[in-house]
Amino acid sequence: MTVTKLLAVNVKIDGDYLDRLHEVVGKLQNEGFVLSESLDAIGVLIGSVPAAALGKLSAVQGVSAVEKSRSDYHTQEP
Amino acid sequence: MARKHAANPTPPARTTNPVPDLGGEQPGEFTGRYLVLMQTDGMKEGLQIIRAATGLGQVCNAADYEDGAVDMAESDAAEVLVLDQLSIAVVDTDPTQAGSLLAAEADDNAILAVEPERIIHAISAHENTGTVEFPFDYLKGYRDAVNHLYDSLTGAPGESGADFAEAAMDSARLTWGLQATLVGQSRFSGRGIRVAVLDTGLDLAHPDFAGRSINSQSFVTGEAVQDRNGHGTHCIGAAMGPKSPPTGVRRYGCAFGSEIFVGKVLSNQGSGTDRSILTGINWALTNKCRVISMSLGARCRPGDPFSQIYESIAQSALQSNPGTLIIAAAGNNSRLPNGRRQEPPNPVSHPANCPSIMAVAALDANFRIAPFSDGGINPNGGGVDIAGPGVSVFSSYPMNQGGHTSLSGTSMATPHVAGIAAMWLEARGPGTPAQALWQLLTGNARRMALPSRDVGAGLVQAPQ
Repeated sequence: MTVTKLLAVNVKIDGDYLDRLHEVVGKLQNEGFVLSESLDAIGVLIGSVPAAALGKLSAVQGVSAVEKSRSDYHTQEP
Repeated sequence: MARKHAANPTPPARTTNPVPDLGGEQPGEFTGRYLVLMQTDGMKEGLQIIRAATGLGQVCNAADYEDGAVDMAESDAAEVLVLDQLSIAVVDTDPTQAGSLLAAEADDNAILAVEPERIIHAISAHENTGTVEFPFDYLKGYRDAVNHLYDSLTGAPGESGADFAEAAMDSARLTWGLQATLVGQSRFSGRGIRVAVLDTGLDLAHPDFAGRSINSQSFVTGEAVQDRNGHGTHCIGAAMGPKSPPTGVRRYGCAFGSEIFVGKVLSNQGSGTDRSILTGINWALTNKCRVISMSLGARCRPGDPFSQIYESIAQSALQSNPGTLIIAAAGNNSRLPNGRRQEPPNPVSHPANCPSIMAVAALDANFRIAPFSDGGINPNGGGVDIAGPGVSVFSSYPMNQGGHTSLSGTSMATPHVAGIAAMWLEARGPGTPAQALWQLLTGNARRMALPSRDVGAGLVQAPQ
């Protein structure tokens, strides 16, 4: 069995496309994106994507940026 | 530079004299004596000139006392008190003879300047005047006068002057940070302004926040808002703690009239993910918080670009009407194992390195950059924008961990800026756009004699 590695990603939607969010999400899903949360106030989709398909997401019309999700945040005490 | 002059009664055994006529504007109260600043290698010559000009003979020298602990009764009796460490003589003479000293000042000799001795009262009264203990308050008066002389001679504004030194210690009423940022004397409290602190939560049962408007939400799976770390409670305290803590401790919070929004985006272990933080920002914006404070970050290396996503979010927030200002800790990655700061410092952390997020550096109580505080190394917005109090900062802490504690970090500096931002919004009207708020904070910051790479515009200041 082949295990597909999923990457957690954040996808920023171009402000001009926020009223057509459904469309954009549909196109992203066609590229393998799995949506877990849509943050409307900031125009960000949180989800995951097979590693091999990562590059395709930024080419989707209405997407302004795609970044791998970070989990290395810490309180800022020395 | 403004100096503190007293409205209080004069200390015992010191009489307030009218302003001596030494020319120019001389506001304040005076003792009737004069400070004569001499060249450090010209003390002997200087004293001869003083003797010649005034005819005074009885000299008391601080160097004759162990540790400079001058017996004030003896020095009061003397006509000339020599403070050789400061290259200063305090001369008890009348205005006519002072005029002769002034003439000496004009010549090219060991006398650099002559100034009437000012009476400067301590913020905390020194009641124990009956002992032979050295009166530090009085010496502080000398120091202020010396600073004034130095400023007059060099034209320098006196950045590390006495006003700063006075503010750099917690008092019974105020933390050093609230003094240095002028929060303690401000008329404003951030009344009605919504401020979100995205952190490890809050001790919701802390008596210092009883009766306050608190909205809270956890974005950490499996963890409640209740702060089991302490960091979040400390940050919320610095940003929005009460004017008079019912627990009886000194005031430590800025915007005591603001509405508290607690977004738990860091776990009780103090770590977090994009998912939690972005969801927290989304929540704060949905709730129309005007200020978002994030004492969190992820380390950056030299050359790392900023996040397009965070920048885009912050830029939209800043540019919308009336908009939201996002503030974040510059980061704490610049301290070497030997305790010193690395040179150059580590770059500002993510997400504070985004151009539209206000990056906050940490200063200590002596107004030096904290050794851990990161700096503006990376181009394209990765700079420090402003600085706040970030070393030995006293604030609230969960009650089951003592109720209050002192912590250090750009984490502590950040909520000071957030709270003061809320105070500016109240001062200029709640409709003030976020972009204007950014300008108010940086434009009114106190300039420091430190590189902007480290402190940006300088030390954040509250509206008055």
